[in-house]
Amino acid sequence: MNWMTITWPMVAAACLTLGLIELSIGLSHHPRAPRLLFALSAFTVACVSGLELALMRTDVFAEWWLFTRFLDTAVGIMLVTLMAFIWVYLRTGRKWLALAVPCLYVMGLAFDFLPWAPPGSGMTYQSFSGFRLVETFGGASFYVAEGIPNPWNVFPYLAVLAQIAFVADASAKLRRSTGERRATVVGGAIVFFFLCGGLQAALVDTGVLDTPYMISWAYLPVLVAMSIELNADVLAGARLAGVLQERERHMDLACSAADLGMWTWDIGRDSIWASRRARELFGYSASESIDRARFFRSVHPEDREVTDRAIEEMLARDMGYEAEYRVLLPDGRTRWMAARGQIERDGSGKPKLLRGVVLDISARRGTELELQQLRSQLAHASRVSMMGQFASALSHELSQPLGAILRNAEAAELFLEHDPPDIEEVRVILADIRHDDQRAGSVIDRLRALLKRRNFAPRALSVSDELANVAALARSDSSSRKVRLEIDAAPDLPAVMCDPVHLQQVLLNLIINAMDAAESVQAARRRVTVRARSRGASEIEVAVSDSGPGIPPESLGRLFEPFFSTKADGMGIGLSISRTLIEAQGGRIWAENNAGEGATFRFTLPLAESAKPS
Amino acid sequence: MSEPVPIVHVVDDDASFLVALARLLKAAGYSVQTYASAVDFLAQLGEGAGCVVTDLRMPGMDGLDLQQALMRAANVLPVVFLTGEGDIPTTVRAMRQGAEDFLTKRAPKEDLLAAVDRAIARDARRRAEDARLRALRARFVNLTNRELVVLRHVVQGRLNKQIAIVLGVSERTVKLHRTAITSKLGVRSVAELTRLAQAAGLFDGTPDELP
Repeated sequence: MNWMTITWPMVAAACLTLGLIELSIGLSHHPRAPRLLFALSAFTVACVSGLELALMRTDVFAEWWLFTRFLDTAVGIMLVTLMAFIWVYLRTGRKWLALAVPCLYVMGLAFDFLPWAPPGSGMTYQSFSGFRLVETFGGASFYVAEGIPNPWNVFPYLAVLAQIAFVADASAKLRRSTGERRATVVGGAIVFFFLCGGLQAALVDTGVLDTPYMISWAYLPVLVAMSIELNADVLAGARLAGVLQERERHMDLACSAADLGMWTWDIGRDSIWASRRARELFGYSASESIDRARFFRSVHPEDREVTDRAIEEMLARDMGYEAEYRVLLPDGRTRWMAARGQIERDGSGKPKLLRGVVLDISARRGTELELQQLRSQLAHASRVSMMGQFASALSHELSQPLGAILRNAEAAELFLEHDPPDIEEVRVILADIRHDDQRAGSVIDRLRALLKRRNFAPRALSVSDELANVAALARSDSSSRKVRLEIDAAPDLPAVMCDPVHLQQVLLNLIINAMDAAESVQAARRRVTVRARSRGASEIEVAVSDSGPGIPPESLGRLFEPFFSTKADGMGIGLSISRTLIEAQGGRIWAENNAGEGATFRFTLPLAESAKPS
Repeated sequence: MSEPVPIVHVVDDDASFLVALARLLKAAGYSVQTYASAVDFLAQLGEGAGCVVTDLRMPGMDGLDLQQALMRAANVLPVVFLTGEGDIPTTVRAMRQGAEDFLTKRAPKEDLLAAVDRAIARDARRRAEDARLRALRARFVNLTNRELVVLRHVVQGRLNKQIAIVLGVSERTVKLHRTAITSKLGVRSVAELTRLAQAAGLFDGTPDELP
């Protein structure tokens, strides 16, 4: 036992270890080819190392001849597998150089196996002459073979040179095309150790150097360099995986802190992935598979259309997905959800994925609902008190058709008493009665709509229609107060998004205020004008102007405050409620004094989605 | 000239109610004319007998305005007001101005027709009274101015002697005047003469100042 019998097996063991590692990775990970080729090279280098050790320890010709031929073959396999590895791994090598390596080597190796040649006459020596024991440091000794060198031994060296040229060329090309410095370092290291290995073998072959073959020593660093190169991606991947896990933990923490559920909808395959929390929120079991249809079944029927529209709009245009809807839980409860998402498209712009989050907003919705109910109640109370203000005008409005019906009926009775009864006249009268009944009915309908307790229900509606309704209610009050009421709505006004009753309430409130103001000037000058116009591309402005004395400048800023009134008998409720109602619809309301006489109250309302220019 | 038929003038801005009311009144046997506004009615106001049935609340000139305008006109027709609902201040004001009646639009037919009848009757009474006065006054037309002066003193109960002194004429001249007056008016006694002059409202509003 000396240092030589220890170091060569160590080299072999190192190669085997590297080979086994790559083999095990290569069997379970794609791509397989580079790792399997690498493992094969490593195993061959281990064999080479073992054979080198065997050769240096034998002085028996038959053993030497057998080991030499094994070694030559193993070196050949080693060269070819390494070359194949580099070919597969770098993908930048030249084919003819790659093919030259095995061809050249096989031409040299052939001499080892010529059937007619005597034993000992092979690739290295033409004829074997004997063994020589060489003493070296550390008390170690080894045998070297001696003989007449074979002039054709140039082929394996040419093969090594071709290999070196192939690696240098391939790594230079890679460097040029990707600019990776790594390629040069690894390629350079491989070239350097190939040169060392080749040179050492050549010097031993020619008897210049009295050492054993150390090919495996030169190839071990090559293997290490390639292994590092091969596993750089794996290492980077592992690091990335660590980072990713950390990110995921952060995301989970953020989601659970914000109580968010996450989901991803694969649009092409129509399958929805949902996080545990998202499944909980929707009441899905952990294993249930979800698609668009399943999702829609769990959305409250009243909200399905809105949600569907949000999805379609998001798919059609390049906009984020935002929807709020109720979810029907399996136990029959409902839950308000807010969903936000972002669409991901493939190269051709087709929607691929929709990724997003959901949040339980039942609590917020509950508060909102309560607030809305309070607002509705207050608005209702104010409406009732406002209707009281012109009850006498309304009773006049009703007594006209009712009186007409009564008189017509009485007249008909008289016509029937005639002899013969005047049936034709009675027929005409009955038609009139029906007409007046409808008139009375429509007054009652309008009143009932205004007096009914109801919830906030905005919809797309025509400002002109609502103005006409309000004018019909206010007309008789205006005539008894001798105020000229003019309605001026531009033709073809686009629809607004608004609650109809709340709009009527605001209009009535402003018109009654305007008539109060106008009444304080002499009868001939009493005038109230209501104008409705488009304002920009997204809203409509309604202006109610009067010919009264105007608003005292010090009151202008406070008009919409609750309990602020400029009238002796005013409660200061009407305008503050009007402001609440208009702002709830997304509009604004303000007042200003006119340049000439009187004041103008203006409010805006946003256009309905359907009326917006696309 | 035959006895003119009283006409019920109906004024209301509500066309439907106007037609219905006119229909009922016609069926009840009245002659009816309809107007969509107070202004229309006043423009067509003639001399004829009848009454006005008007809506109290109308745009422009309302019922009370119409009543005031009518009081300044030559033909002071009685007015029956109709209203959706009677509020007290307006009712009081209308009644003070001499509204014949004040009814809601849906008052019973009997009340309405009775009110119209009353209004027409009142108009007829006023017209009869006017005619009687006119006839009485016509009898005094033949008296000379001097005779009218003497008549005034006689009606005030003065003796011939006093009259003669006041007028600066002889007692005999006064007697001649008195004879002419009684024969022209066809009365026999001073009491009868006094009654006639009072009925004709001859010296109303001219308070007497005796020296």
